[in-house]
Amino acid sequence: MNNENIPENTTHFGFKQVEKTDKASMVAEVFHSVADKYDVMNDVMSLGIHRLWKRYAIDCSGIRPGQKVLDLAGGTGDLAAKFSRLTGPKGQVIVADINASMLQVGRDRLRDKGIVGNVEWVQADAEHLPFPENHFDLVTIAFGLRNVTDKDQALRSMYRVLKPGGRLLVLEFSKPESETFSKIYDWYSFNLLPNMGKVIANDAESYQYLAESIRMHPDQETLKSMMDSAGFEQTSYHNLTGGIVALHRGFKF
Amino acid sequence: MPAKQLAGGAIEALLNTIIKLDPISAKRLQPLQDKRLKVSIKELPWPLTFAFSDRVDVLTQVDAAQSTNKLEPSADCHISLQMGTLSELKDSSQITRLIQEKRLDLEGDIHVAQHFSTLVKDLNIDWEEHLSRYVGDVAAHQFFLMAEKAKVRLSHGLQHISTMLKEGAIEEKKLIPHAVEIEQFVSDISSLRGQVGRLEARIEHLVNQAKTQN
Ligand SMILES: C[S@@+](CC[C@H](N)C(=O)[O-])C[C@H]1O[C@@H](n2cnc3c(N)ncnc32)[C@H](O)[C@@H]1O
Repeated sequence: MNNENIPENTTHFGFKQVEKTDKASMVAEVFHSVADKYDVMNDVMSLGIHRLWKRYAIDCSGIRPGQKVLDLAGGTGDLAAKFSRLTGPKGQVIVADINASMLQVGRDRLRDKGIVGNVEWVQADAEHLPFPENHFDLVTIAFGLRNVTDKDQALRSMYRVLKPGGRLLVLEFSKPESETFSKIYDWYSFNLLPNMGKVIANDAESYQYLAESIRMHPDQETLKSMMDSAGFEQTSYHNLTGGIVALHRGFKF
Repeated sequence: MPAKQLAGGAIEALLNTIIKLDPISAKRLQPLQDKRLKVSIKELPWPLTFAFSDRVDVLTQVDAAQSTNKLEPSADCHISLQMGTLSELKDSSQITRLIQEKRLDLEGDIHVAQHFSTLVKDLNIDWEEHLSRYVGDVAAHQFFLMAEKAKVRLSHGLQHISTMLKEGAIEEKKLIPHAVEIEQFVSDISSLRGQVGRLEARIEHLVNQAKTQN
């Protein structure tokens, strides 16, 4: 992303420049307005493939019974449901999200599935995690990092709460590997997607924001180097579906 | 598209749907709580790890190129076998025999494999009742009568095919003609050709005769 001529105290909100202090509340507004339809939209938008991306992340998590997991920006509890079973009654899963509406949707959903025991819900900002140092075996953030105002600060915060030997997994939209694919994908996100958002959630603007925020998010290599700077080691990434999404991982030793 | 995850997801969905049909599946899963069983089937390109809780989650191994020990799902028990041996696993008392016969490789806690085998064998599913929920009692009953008949017919059919194949195998050699047979065939053809020639000549002769009579 090109940061030239951008005043220090502003940041991007999709393609718009906004005051840094305003971004969080604007993001909150987006997710308040999509919270209850979020799941359906996810399926429609990604043709259901987001479930496979999430499965891939879980397959890379190495999580075992008894371990502690933080699912950051965990919104509707998609990953948490799995982690709850994989860590078992002796384990612990904390879902943290900045947005109370998203947490509520997730909590209700998991309760309906009969998952209550080892899951806790905490309203928190990724940049200032209210957890002790060296606490989690695994931190995941799926489709959340791009909404965070200060990503470097957030990555440092995640590093802090990880145990030595713990790992971070970042699942996020990224940069398609091929040019042609990239063009089709652009057309899809800027024409089809907002229209679908309008029809299904009656909210074209929020989906326009989603499409824009995806484009403004750092590409694979940039995010990897950001993780390195935050202190993570053995960082690497794996492209999924032609690079539409990438899973980054890093360890704290 | 993440193909392994697609396959893993499909297997997981199928397995859980089946398990849920047993009214006391939760109790049956109890001995496996928090355990993991990794299964490598020789014919399949990657192993599957089953993680047990009040249901079964399927974990797949990430690509070999980027897999380090850290990324492999951990397992309490790892079994490797051929597809054909899978059905014999249903009888947990056979596990030791299969290992002795080297048809099954087992690393780790044998109890996990045994419990899993018991789970699969003991699943008590009233298929007819479950189907009736979707299509109504009468239809379900009819369906099962039909299915029963179809099964009988199918097994007759299969028997028939297998006898046919057996006989076919015996007769098979006859499909390749012997040199003597070929010679015979060639001479048959030349004598036939002679006969046709003679017949032709006779017809011509008769036609000419008819012409002169007119
Ligand atoms: C696209 S949703 C992803 C939800 C879920 N992880 C999934 O994959 O389906 C993004 C989530 O990030 C949350 N979020 C945005 N900014 C955040 C921040 N600074 N700290 C924590 N969560 C944040 C939003 O509230 C929203 O629930």
